[in-house]
Amino acid sequence: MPVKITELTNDLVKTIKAAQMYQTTHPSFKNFFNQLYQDLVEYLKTNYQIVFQIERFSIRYEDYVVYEETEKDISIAFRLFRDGIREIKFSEGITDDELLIFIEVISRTDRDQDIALNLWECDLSHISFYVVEEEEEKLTYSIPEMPKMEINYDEAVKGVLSKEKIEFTDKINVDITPEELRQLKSAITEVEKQIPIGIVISTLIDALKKSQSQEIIDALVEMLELSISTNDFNNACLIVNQLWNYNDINLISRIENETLVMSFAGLPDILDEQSFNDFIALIGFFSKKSVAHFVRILKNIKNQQRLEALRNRLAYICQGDPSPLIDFLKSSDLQILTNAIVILGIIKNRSVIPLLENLILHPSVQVRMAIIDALTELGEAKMIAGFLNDVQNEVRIKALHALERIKYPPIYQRLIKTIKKRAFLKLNYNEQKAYFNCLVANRDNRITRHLEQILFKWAIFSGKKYLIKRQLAAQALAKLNSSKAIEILKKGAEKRNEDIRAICKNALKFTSTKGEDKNV
Amino acid sequence: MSESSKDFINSLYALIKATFVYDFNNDVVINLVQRFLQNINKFFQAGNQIEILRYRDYIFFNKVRMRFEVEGYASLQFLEEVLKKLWIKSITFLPGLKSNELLNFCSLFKYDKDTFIQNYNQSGFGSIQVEFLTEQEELVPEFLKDGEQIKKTYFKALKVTKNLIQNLWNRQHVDTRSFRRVIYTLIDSLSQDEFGLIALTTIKNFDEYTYNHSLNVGVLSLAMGQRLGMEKRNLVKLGTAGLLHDIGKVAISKQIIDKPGALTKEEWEILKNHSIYGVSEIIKTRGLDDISFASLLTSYQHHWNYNGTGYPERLDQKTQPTLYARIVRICDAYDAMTTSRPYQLLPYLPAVAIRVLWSNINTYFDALLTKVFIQIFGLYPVTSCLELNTGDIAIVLRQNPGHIDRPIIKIVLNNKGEKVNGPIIDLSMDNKINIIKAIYPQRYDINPGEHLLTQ
Repeated sequence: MPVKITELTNDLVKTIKAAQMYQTTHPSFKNFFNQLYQDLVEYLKTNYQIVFQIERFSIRYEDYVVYEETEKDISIAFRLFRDGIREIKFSEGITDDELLIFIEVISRTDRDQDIALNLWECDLSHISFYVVEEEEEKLTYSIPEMPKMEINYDEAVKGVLSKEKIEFTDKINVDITPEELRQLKSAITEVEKQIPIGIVISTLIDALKKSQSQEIIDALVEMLELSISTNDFNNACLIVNQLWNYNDINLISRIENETLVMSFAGLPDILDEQSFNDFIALIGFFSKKSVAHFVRILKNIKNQQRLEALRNRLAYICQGDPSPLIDFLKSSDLQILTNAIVILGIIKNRSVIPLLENLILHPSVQVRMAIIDALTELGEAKMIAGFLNDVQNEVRIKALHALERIKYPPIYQRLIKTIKKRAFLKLNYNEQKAYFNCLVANRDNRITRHLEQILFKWAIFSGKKYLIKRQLAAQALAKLNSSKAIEILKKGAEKRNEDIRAICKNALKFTSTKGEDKNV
Repeated sequence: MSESSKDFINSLYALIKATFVYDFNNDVVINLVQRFLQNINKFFQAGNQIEILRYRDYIFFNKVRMRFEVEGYASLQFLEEVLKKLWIKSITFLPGLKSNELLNFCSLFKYDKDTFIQNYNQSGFGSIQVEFLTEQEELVPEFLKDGEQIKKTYFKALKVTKNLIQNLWNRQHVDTRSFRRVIYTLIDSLSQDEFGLIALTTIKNFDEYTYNHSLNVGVLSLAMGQRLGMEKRNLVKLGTAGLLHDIGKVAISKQIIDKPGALTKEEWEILKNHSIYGVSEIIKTRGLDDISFASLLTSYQHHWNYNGTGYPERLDQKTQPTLYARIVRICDAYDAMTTSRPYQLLPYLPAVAIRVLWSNINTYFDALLTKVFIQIFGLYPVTSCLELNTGDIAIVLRQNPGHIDRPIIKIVLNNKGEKVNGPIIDLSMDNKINIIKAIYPQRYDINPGEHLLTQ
């Protein structure tokens, strides 16, 4: 046997074994592989091709057995033989990519792999193989009789031509123009890409609409799981949504469980905008039983906007029923507790108000702020007003914002009283501003007068601090934009006090010239 | 076919054509010579010479058979035709080829066979060697001469298809591995001899229409896919889709499927559901992967017409079927028309079916794909029975690339009405013999299948 053949066979066997032990990127595998490729190319340069015959437990080159292994589980020959491969030929021009694919395919040891089919699929140009089918029995075939009919065949042809309105003399030109060729090439390029899954889904659903089929439903469930596991929420939504519209079938109910929901953890922060929107849409199909799991995954979301979107979605799933969240009100995990409170607010079920009331004095600022959010959703202004005495200014500011938003006129008197107090000047700018905004939002007919007093008040002490208060009063008047408010500002713009003059002139810029009365 | 060999053939074609029209100093010719020499030098630098060989209507480029594909079809067909006309077996280009030698050689192609040989011998080309055929070439198609393997492939495929359909019908286990293997063997066989398998699709067994038809649509679709230059993995999808296009019929009562005579309106409506049932059957048989997706879309869409009509009704009429479904639509219609069925005992003549396809382009069928179909199958497909101007009756043995109306035929009945094992004639090379019309072979007790299977 030629020495080169022995070397090549050894290289081949070592490389296959290495591929079974290591990744193909592993240096050990690469060493064996490079040696094999180098030797093979060199051999083929002078011999053009090398053909190995595959036998049950051995590989032969011409009359020589170059490999033998009788243990089925590890025998390379047996695996090839079992799948019908009887000959493998390597030809000159082989590339390292081709050889690598070949090695990868024949190294797979799983019993359900069909090596012949896998090699066919790889379509390697310089590695060919001969396969025998399992069934070697002789196939018999016979020429079917041509049924002879007692008819006039020429008339039959004429009849068909007349029925189809065609003539044998009709001109047929099958030349393909360059433009048509371009069209064809583009159509082929299109099918060479993966088939758009959306078309498959629509077809499955369309077929299901016309004929109920368990196989199609199962297939859609499988495709749904696949889509979700690959974060393809667009197609997941398409499946769930279309099926819901057509057949009132909610596929989510078949796959919904804690593991699935927990697998979404972290996703809201990393999905792109479109995928996140699809994700949110998909969540809408989950049932109340998943709400508790979702609340757990909310805790690590950093993107505030997306967190809010998810909270809203979970509230939507609850459909007015707070029960999936009630237990969380006892949670010691502040984030879980906070999310539960906010979602309860969005649900707008007033039965939870007493439960929230129990948490008003919760030591955590975050929780108290969440309660304000919830109470805002519930329109519970009176309870929110209680937070104006909170020790934390951010809580107080939040309460002011909430009252500004939901409007609570009875608070006016309390607000103006606070504003007029000397202690007001000690509050930070944001809180002062929140007070004035809240005042405007909950105004009564005394507001213009009150603001005028604040604006023009003679302040001997704390002049600088009072300046801010004046500014806020002027801005409030500008916001009112009533004729009376503008008149006051104009008056201020004429004052001798430079500060008042400047503040009023500036505020006037934010009023409309008409001085529209805003129901004051 | 590799891109470099395609480029080579294209540039040779362009150069030969240019020398027919322009003189050697023309810019067009100069540019084409440069392009050709650049191409050829790449091969020479890699240490290769170039051999173009013609054997049995196929062109081999350095021993690799070039497939007739839509792209590059004109150049390959031209080359095949001139080599045949001039009795050239092979042309070998050697290193050292100069532009003058090349131009002189190309300009010879406008002559007839004798003048070409005479001029070639006189000119003494050093870097271009031509080998001529010494006797008229063998016209017996490959599959008839050495067709045992291809017949085995076809009938094995038929058996596997039959098993698959019967098992589905009987709700028994389906052997998908054999089925997958069949697709690959069909693709391999087609790449070796396109016309062999196509010829076998014309043997129609009345009793086994469903199986025959499924396999035939698979084979015809694969032939189209190959001509379109599809990659192997896409041919697998197309072949599977073709074979499984009617699989939904297993969900329909056999009484309707096998009913002799015309179907009632209600029965017809039930039968039409096979496109829809096919979707479930394919999922059941193949599971879910890219090949299944192509197949289930094809099953669902293979009765969708190009103009938006057809069944099942589509939500949006502008939705076009996939390329696979459009191919299968044509192959399905052709095979159905040319096969005898309970409600159509006398099938259409293949030549008529071709014209029916053509007359329905842009309504039922995609015009462009129908053109490709006719390019492959010709106006007189294999086994067509023809009446000739000589009074003889012949059957078509294979197509001539580029001559859809002048196939290679075999005389089977002489002008005295006697059955003969007559000569094989290439009509593209014999202008004296003309086709009068296509006829039913039964009229003369001819069974074309005998000429395919008993060689």
